[in-house]
Amino acid sequence: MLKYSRLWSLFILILIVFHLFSCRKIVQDEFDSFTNLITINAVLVEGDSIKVHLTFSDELNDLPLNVIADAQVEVVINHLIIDTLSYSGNGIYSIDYICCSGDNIDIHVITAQGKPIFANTIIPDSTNINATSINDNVWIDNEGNSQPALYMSIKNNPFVMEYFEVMLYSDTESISFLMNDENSETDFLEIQIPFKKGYSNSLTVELRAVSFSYYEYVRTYKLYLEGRYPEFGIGTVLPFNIYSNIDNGLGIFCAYNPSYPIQLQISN
Amino acid sequence: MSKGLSILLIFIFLCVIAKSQYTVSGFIKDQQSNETIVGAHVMDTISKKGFVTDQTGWYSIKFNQKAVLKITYVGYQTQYISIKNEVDTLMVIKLYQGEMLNTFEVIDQRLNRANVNSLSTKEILSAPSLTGSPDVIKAMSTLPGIQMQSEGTSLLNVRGGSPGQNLFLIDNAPLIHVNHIGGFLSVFNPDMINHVDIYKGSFPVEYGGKVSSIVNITQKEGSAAAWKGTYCFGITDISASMEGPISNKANIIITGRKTVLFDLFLFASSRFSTGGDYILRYGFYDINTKATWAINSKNKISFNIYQGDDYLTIKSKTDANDLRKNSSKNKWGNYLSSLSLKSVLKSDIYIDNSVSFTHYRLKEDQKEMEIKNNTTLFHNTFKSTVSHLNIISNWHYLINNNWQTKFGYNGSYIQHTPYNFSGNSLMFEEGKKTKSNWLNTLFLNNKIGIQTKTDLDLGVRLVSYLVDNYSKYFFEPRMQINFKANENISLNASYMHVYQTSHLLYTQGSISNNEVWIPATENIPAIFSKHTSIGIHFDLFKNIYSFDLSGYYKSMTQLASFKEGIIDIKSDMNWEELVETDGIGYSYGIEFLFKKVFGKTNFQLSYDYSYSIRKFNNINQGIYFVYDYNRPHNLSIQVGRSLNKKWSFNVLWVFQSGMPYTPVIGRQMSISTVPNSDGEIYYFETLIYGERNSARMRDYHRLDIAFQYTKPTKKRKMKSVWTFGVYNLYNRKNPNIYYFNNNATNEIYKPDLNGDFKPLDLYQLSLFPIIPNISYKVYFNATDFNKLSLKTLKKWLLLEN
Repeated sequence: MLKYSRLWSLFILILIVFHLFSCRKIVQDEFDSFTNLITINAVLVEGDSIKVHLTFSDELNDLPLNVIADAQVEVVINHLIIDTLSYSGNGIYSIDYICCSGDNIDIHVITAQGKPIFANTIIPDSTNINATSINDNVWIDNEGNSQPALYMSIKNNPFVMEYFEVMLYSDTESISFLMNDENSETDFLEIQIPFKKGYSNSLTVELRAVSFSYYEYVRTYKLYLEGRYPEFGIGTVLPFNIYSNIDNGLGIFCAYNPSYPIQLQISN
Repeated sequence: MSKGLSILLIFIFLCVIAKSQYTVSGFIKDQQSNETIVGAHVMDTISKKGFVTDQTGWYSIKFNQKAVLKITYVGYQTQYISIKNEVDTLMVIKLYQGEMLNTFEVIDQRLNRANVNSLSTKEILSAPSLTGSPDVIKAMSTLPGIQMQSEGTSLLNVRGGSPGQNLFLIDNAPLIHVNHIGGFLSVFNPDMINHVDIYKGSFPVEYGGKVSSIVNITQKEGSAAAWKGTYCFGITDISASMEGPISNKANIIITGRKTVLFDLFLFASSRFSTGGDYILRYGFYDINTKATWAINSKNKISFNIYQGDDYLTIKSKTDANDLRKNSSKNKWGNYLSSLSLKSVLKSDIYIDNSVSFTHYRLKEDQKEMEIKNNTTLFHNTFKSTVSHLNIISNWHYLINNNWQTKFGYNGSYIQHTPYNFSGNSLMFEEGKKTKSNWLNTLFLNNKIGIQTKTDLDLGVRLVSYLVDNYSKYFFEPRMQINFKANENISLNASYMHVYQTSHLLYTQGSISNNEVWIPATENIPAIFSKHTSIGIHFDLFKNIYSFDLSGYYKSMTQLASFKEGIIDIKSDMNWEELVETDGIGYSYGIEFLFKKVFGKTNFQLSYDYSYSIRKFNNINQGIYFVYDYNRPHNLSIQVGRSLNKKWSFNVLWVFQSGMPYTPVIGRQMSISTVPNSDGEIYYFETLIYGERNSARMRDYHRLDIAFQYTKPTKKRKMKSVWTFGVYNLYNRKNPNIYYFNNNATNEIYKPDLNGDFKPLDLYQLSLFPIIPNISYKVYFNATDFNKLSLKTLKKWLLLEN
């Protein structure tokens, strides 16, 4: 519905006035000075090794951001195992340890340029897709065609706050759908996710149990995109910073636990 | 404290105890049109006591002996009336148009009203505008303390308030939606307007419910003398009006506007273009009728109907191969009807009663049909509505010349339905969520003259609010004091409390209407505002020039807003969860208005400095931020002059500080959570923003000019007026939004999708460069009307002599 509203707003926008009269030009503005901070980026996956990407943030200028190649990066797993990550190029530090459900992982980064930085995440417990089906003719797309939606039921623990991301992969798009069980007191969560039919008649569904930091990172990244690339005339979200859980630095250190992907058939 | 209060009360009592012997009261009207004159000054030349006529043109003065009344109003000849019979008298005084400069004398300075700006029809019609058509709200925005939200819109910010904090009244009936074409025009047809008062503080006690301003529009009643009318062609619309007597006691006025060229252009361009798949229709219309019946000299009934809508229709183009067709119909606007009874109970008691019903709706209707069987596959309707039934009874009692009292009751029954969905979509929950609320208000105001130099207004409103099972009581004290220092200088101070039991949620930058009103509830409390102001007024050179300087401080608590990242609630049944509450706001500023209103040349210089901030716990990390539309410096200079009988011009120069925006302070790397086509996680640059609204765009300024050419036709004696205007004469590229990109095209570079690095620059988008405009208006009268035939109609339209 919203996409449909946006369509006609866009037509109005272009046809009435703005296409005829609008003008875009560079503005020279001065911004406050910015202190470069270390940026950690790592999304840990259950069953996978640990990889951490380190860069420096910078002010708005014409240079690419610098990777950090000389940092000392340590992980502490479940408050017991301490190990050092080795540098493998392009700002990436890695270790062969395979992440398991429930692992509590801390990271410490020390560089010559700044304060030591810290972050923590927990690998979420796995979850299962209980049931799926596809409902036809649920919504109308921008071209006016009826489109389906995926119905899903997910196993839920009502006594623990849990966060999920459902990934839909079709031949036309990949959709991320975030949810949590804040308002649910049942053993199953039921959701419906609209998607567009493509040329292929199959759809791949992946469910991720995600950490709180992962959930916030993806949620705020979506809001960031809305504010970053405003579609003029439609109504914009104000600029929004992406969530960070890094002490003394920037970036994200988070985790998820994926389910086995499911293939579904779409009727034509 | 109590001793001081007692002395004050005794003092006031002694001042007012001497009751006058007889009362002269009535209405001030235009001699030609019989329209009431709002804001006319009626003064006792002996005591120098005066009265300003209210929205109904009512005045009332008491005398002990024979007296001479002096009646003055801008653009009218001053009139003196000798009162010989010392008995209560009801008198309609008619003023002749035309200025008599030699007769100007100093009038009672206490008649100057603080915290209120007024606009007459003449001022509205002469102000240059973007489309060439005069517009009430555009004219209002040239006054100090009143700012347009952004260029091209009709949303107003008054003294640091938000657009949803302004109460618009048409003859005492509230109107909810005030924009056409996304704000290019307001819904108020200038042909229908008699007078506009904008209260920025110290609201009259009978008004409340919005915390920032009261915009009180008094409509014309229609000519009582003879039938006359107008028609006008402009860029955006055509309009017409007719007014005249139905009988010797009743008259009517009808006005209407509709987009024609605009609508046809869109339809034709989309219908016959080869590139698009849709046919578009967009436009607006409004129609307004007011009938007035003077039952007798003491009672008058008025009935008013207004309806105005914007509409947008999108239909798919279909051909023989298509199996389905679909459409989207969107409509938004107001319906209003009101009935009022104005009665003179006694010569010193006047009652203004009215009942009105206003309905605002925002509707989106989506449909898909199977062409072959003509069956509906899909039909969804979203609605967001507000229905407002309003009753007000306002009593005015002149106890004596030093004591006027106003009291009454205002009751409202309001139904808010932010979410109303019907259809066969599984995506949305069918049904609606309506909140009904009751507002009952008792109000009382005493205007007390203390000796000859001071007027004290003491008012109070007692409000009860009930929604679902939640009820609240509000106490709203209001106080204003005016002190006349000498014949040319007066000072004033005021203080008031106001509560607002509804919140407007909208998305900035949206050209289509997305204004959703929600009521105050247990979880979303009513806005509370405290407003303090002081001011000084000077009259210079025998009142030819006036100068006002005022300052204000306003606090607002319990503000509501969308939660961060939310831009729409009308498609969510659980809308209360999307609202951020308990916001705090402060604003303060100074205002300056210098005006010359008499003579061939009119001049107005308006300046205000304002600062307005907001704070929400979950927005901007709970830190105070500058209000989204706060522009500290606002200056406008307007000059109008009649060159001769045919030509006149108006020039307007506007300067405003740039709009606040949220700057980028740096860049960082971010990580994708979804692998790319090679199955690998990748990294991309994202921006780091500073504090919300901590930077400002470039300053805004522009020069508008409008020439009017008035040409009477020889045979028909009709008056035609051509208006030629240029908006933004020196083509200033004023910023509308700022954004970051690596090129100046519409295509925005998205590094998170490309993964590569390209330096970014800050760009501005400007919308309104130099825009010429033209409109053509014809005034016709009864003589022409009687001769109406196809032949004469053709001559009118072509202006053949």
